[in-house]
Amino acid sequence: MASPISQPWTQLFHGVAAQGQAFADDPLADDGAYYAFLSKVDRDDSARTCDVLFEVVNKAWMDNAVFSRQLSVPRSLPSAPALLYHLPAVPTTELLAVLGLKTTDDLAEGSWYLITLSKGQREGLTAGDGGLVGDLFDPDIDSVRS
Amino acid sequence: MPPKDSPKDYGPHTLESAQLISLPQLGSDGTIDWFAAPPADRVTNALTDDGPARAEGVGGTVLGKRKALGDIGMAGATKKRKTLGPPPPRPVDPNITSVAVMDVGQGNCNVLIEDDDTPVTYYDVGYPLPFFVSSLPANMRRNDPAYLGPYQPTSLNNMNVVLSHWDWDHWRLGHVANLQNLDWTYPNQPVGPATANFVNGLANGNVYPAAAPPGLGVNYAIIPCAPLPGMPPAAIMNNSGLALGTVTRIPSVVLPHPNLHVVMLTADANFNTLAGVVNPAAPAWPALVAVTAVHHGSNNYGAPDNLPAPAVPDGRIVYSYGVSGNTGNHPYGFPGNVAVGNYQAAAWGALPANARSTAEGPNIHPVGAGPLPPPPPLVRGNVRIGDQTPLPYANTAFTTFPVASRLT
Repeated sequence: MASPISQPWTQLFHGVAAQGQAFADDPLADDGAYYAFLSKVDRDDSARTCDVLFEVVNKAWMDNAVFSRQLSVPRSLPSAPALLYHLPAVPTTELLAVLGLKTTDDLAEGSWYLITLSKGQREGLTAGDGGLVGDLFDPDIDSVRS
Repeated sequence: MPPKDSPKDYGPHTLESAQLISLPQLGSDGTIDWFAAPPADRVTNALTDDGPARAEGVGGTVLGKRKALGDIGMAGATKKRKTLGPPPPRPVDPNITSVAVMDVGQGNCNVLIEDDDTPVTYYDVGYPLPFFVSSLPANMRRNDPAYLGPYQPTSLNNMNVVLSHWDWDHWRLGHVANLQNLDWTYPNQPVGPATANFVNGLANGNVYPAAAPPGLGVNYAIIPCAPLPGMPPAAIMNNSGLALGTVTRIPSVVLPHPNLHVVMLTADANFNTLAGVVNPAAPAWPALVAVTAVHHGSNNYGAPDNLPAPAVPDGRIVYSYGVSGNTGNHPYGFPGNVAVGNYQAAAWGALPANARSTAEGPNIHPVGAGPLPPPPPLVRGNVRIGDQTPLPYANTAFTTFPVASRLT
């Protein structure tokens, strides 16, 4: 008859599993810092605007789950508490200014950024003050049935 | 990974700051460094190490972060990865009798249909961003009671998916409609964390090697695309994926071989980035009769330039784009007036005879050519090129093709 699993052993591995649960329950970053993958860019030159989609992950999660490895071992990205940050039809010049780019030629899908977001829209923001407002949401809002 | 039970909209957020970590760049030898350091002379906000470089694990430094992203940030680095080898001996394959360009709003989704009226292959399974969901027909809106969705896997579970590239509006229907169990073939491009979650959930994902030559599927050819020298970073993703060509028979077309009418689907890739195309005016594929407009009819980064010549006096062309059901606006300004003009000048679709669109049928209103009509579009729907025999499938948004949207 196999020995019963010890309580400390069980508690240890429940603790391991729980480390990531906080991020799954609340993917928002307390400090507003996210690693952001520029997933989609579309320019509307007639309106001089850009539509931009970032796939973002809490910086703390990414630093722990991806960037803290001691060895460079190729492996797949673990399931991430990913969110989408969508900036629809924002002025192109303002977007380039915030992203630190000089030309739309470098507004490239596949780029990675470290960004800071704050909830809501602050009044009086102008270009150069980070005056761009987008929507932050869970990707699966498009998959909810009526 | 199944959709979450209660996905949340966290509302407006202000972009306070941004620092660029990596920027895709094209080398002089044609190779792509997807995670290159940002050029100092072109970027003012590049992320730098805070103080002396310290080894907080592999990703402690900015250089380490780029390396870590390169290790795990590609579609081919997902859990279930199979790189395609040489194609198998080609069987005697049924004919593709029609090619459909489905109305998925602002997105792309094409289907190859065999002569027994069976849809067999998806080329892209796109879906709009939530912001543009009003561009969808009601029977494709997931949160609408009228939702029907694409072909149901339970009745057509042998369909496969060839993905052009990893843009959201080209793969997202794969998640919305739970198509992860189909056989997928896709290019090895970088993906973000939300996309990576989807790729990790594919039951059978096949990476098409970037350096591979064109390969033969059962009813089609996959043609890798490669960015051209001098293409800026902004054009790399769209032009480094997979195009798909097939042969069908378009009833009104007269060519020496009646069953060899080539249809070329490139999604967002420029025609002159397809492997083997040196002179688009004399492409490697003769008998080219029908195409889809590059990048939904975009004006940018050479999309409407270097167009191939059709093998007939007036080639057939389909524009896949959406129109907002609320405002009548065209997301991203598609199709552009320059693009439509260039296609017409190259003998692709003299309006309204041989040009169709998913959003407006034959009544295409390019952006920049004058006021746009108010919503809703009078004619919209799935476009079918070739045979128009009705499909025997119920409970799907992909079975009906309005008469005005047919190309025969």
